[in-house]
Amino acid sequence: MNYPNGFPTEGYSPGNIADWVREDRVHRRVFVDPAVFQQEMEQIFTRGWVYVAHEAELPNPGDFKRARIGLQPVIAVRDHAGEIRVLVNSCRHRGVALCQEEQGNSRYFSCPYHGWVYDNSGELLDLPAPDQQNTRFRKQDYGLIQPPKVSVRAGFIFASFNAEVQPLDEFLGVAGKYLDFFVELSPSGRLVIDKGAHKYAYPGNWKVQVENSMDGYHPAVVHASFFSDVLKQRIGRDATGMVDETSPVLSRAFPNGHALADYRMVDRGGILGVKPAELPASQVQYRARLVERVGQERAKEILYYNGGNGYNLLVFPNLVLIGSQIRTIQPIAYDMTEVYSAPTLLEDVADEINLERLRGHEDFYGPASFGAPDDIEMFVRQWQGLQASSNEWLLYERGMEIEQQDEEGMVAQCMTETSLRGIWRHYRRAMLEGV
Amino acid sequence: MASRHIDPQLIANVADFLYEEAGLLDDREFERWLELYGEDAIYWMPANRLDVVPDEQVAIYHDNYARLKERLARMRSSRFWAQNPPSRTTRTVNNIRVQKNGDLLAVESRFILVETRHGRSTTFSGLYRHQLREQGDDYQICRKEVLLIQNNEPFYNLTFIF
Repeated sequence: MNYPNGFPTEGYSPGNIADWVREDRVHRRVFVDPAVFQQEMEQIFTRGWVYVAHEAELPNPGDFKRARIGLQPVIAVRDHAGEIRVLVNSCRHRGVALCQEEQGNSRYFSCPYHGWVYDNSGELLDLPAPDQQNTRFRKQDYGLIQPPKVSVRAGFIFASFNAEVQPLDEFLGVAGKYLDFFVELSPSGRLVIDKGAHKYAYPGNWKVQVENSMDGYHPAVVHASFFSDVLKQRIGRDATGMVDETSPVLSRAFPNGHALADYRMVDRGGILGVKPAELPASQVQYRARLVERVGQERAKEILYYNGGNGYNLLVFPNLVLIGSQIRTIQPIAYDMTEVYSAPTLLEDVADEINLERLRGHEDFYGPASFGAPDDIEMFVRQWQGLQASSNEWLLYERGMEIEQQDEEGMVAQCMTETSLRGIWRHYRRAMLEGV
Repeated sequence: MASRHIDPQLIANVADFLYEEAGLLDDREFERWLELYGEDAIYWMPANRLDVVPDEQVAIYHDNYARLKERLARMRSSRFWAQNPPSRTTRTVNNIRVQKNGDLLAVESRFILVETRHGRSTTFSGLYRHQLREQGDDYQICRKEVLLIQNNEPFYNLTFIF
């Protein structure tokens, strides 16, 4: 489904976004127009903050992981001095991608084409026959390009190619607190991320997976076969009350496009019918260690925040935390998206706790699980349907008349579109800034 | 895994059993397919790597018997959107090697599988590792491992059964 002639960009100008993204609706061209995608890569993925990797994936000097910031290939690395860096994976000589391994440990990155060798801090160390360069060539001018801004919150490494970007913590705002809670669930305060990742792809726009990660209106329908054919038999009762209009679950929109599907108040005993049995020894020990590190009050808060069903967090534009997973939504083209979903483990807990995290993740996420495939199917069908140029507007009006403002942002019941409107409000602003 | 000293009739019997399993899956005879499995069975397909043992790496499939039954319940549901319409598959199983360990047979084979769905055909290939229990004249599967050479690529839905 490619449009080599640029169709449907006819009549496009960057300012169109002002009209195409409205409070209650979004024009289909925001999804299907390749020119909009180009504008996103510049306005959102180059000028803004983008998640790259987590420090837990880079525990030792020399550890690296390949990633992308928008379409730009990068290497997140802990250099030989222990400093976290983001290097553009492109040789300064002819642009060849240096690093082909997804993850590993290396002191050097060398180019297999003409042999330029870089240190893992990005510095150009050596090149064959350097005397033949022009006399004004200086090695120190040709280190690997590094985004001017790299910042870390709760181990999450973010980078931006915009030297003037606002400070990361200011951009994250309320969302930063939820990144903290995700990591603090570990009694040592550190995650272990070494189980690899599920990867899936779909022919369609990246924003549909972003929306779907926060959309509280779809689960009872899209996941009907999970609720009725699987979960109901497992627990002996219907659990759709967790996702229907009687659910206490909330849809939250934070400033700067971040969002939360807030499941914290879900009483698993009530809705899921899981009896609060006596805690197994591994859990008792785990809780004691958590209390030891952070104190009783904070431990209670951490467990309330994500010890149960927790929350789905979106950090604009493309980082999502759900359950134990770090999900990255990677735009490939306007009509092609890849999703990487890495389960995380807790450091220093009993194996059975981590095994439960892993099995729980595999149960619903991943390309052969009982959840994600039905979502992906919707992305494919949405992409088919969005080719209908006669059906111009997508609706986002649910809950507009009932949502409330609280200290963190806008909030309403989970089947509204409050979180989605928050994403779009920020999207519109980011896309039009300086245009 | 040398099969040279194995009774050729045993290899022929195992081959026939593997063809039967392949045929039941391609023909969507899932209930009859599950009858080939013991209630202690594990069906496992790891992600990303081929040189792993279970739990070392996140799995794409890690099903015990109860979960296989859940998978079948979804297969028969009209609201399993990712299999509605269903995948069409056909697979060949080859290069069969057998090792006898007491009552158990360790079987390796190579497969090529083509799936067609939503106007797209995809070729999957890899190694099957079956652990079979001899039961009278027949076999029962107590373990099946699928080491898919594409397991580190981004997939579309993988909602059929390998």
